[in-house]
Amino acid sequence: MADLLSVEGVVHAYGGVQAVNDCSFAIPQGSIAALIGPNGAGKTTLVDLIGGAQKVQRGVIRYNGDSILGWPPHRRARAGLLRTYQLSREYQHLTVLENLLVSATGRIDESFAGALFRRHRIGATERELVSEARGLLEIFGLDALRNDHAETLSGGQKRLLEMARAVMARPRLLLLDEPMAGVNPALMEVIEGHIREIHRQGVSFLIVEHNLSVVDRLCDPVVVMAEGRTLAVGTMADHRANAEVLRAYLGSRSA
Amino acid sequence: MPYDLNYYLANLVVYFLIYCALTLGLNVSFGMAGVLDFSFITFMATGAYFAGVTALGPATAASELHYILGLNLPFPVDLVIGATAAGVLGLLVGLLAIRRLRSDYLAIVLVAVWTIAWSLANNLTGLFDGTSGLIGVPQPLEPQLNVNPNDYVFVFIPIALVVIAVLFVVSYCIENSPFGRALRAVREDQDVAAAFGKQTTRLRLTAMVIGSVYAGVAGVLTIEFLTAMNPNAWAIVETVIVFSALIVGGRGNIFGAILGALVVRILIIEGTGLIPPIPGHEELVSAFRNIFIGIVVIAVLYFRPEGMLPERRRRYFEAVRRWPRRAAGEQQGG
Repeated sequence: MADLLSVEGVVHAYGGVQAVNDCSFAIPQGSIAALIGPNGAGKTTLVDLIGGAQKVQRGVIRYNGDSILGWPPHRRARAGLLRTYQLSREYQHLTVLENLLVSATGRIDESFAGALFRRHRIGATERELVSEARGLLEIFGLDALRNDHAETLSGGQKRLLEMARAVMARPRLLLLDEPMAGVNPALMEVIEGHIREIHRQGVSFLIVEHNLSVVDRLCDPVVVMAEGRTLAVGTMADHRANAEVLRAYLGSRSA
Repeated sequence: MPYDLNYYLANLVVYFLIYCALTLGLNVSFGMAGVLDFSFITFMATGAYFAGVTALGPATAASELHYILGLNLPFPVDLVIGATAAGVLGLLVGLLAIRRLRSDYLAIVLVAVWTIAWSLANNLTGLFDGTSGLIGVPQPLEPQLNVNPNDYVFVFIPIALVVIAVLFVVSYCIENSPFGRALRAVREDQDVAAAFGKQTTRLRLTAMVIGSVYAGVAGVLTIEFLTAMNPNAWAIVETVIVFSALIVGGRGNIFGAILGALVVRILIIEGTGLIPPIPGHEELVSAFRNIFIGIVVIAVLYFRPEGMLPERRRRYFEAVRRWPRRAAGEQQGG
């Protein structure tokens, strides 16, 4: 299948620190890919580069065949490239439901002129969006909290809200930055189920994750990064047999 | 009621209405979009000056007045020109500052904008007559109606009411719209909003221009009611007081903005004006105003950090639609 995302020789440095240094890999359309590697390997920086929050200094990132280096973050989002954050960043003083509604960018008139002169048409679209958002919240078990400020949610609920919000934006490729971080085992299973369900809807994933059993169950290909470079790309089984990967990340004892 | 009291209360109504234009405007730029517009009062002055030189006749050598234009045009042309001038200045300042800067740096740059504008108005006497400012600006409908100057306030109140009603309706429409929701999302987290497809610069800029136009309208009403405007009326502290009013009333809530105008402009500013001067320390009276405002702001931030009327949580009751629905086919099309 064609590659949905390809990262080719990408370099990014913060001052003198090479966070990402000549990193290359590709994610086929329809896959759940993982990005693993020790802390400081440059995984989150790479997610920032793909999402557009940071600028690529050398190399190229292609999405659906096009170089997206010149695209501002909002254009990438509108093309279906969405992300979540390692530390939840919900809109705290918007309600849970509004967090979803506001993420349906491009599907409702958000102009000032629209607010004044097209209220009737906007109202109809809004009712559609609310129904859709409530359906999503129900799946994620948050519908009862829909009128609460997002800041009042627990850590786990915020994780779920981030994912629901990203789905509301109709992604083609969803970048999840450590979706399982700080999540209890029961909720981990729930999130895993959501990822599978969203994937069935035709969404591709790139997941940054430290929980290797989750990665093992869900992801192929698995990209291993170390010190800003791609060390290896393959299945978890491949990596378990790869001495270099074991040294860098898995720890020699698991060999 | 004695006539004098009536007259005084009528004046208070006008001051209150004008202040509502300020707090409602700042509620769009700061309250909803989170733009720390510390040059806010500059746009009020811009509206006032431009309305003034639109309504006044040409400056002649004999009058010893100095100002640009002098178009001698009637109300509401001066209102339109004053509001437009404020909006254009807001757009220019925003284009320079908002594109590049985050909230705190932006705030400092906007203080600098005020400083530049204030110095220009004070020292470029050919512009708006320097420190003495504009005087003798004609009042709306005054020549046509030929009313007793003491009764004019009762002509002005309905004019101001209509203008403020329009601003209120616009604010209401913004607050209850996807546009307003997008502004609030940008206020909460600009990076996330961008990562979810919002054109954050454009949204913040739009909010700043709307706020500037509101301030401009307040300026127009001020100069037309008081018939004069000079740099003392828009010292930097005035921006801080509008911020105080909005924080006390409740930012992000149009009723909070109005309540803030009432509490700060009428209760505190007029109230402290009634304190009898302390012999030998007459200058303290004006200081009391700012001291009381400071105390009230601290008290509100301590006991009700989101203001007396916090931002409303909008509730939705539309039916749940089961998910997933069509989603896969639709988004995989392209």
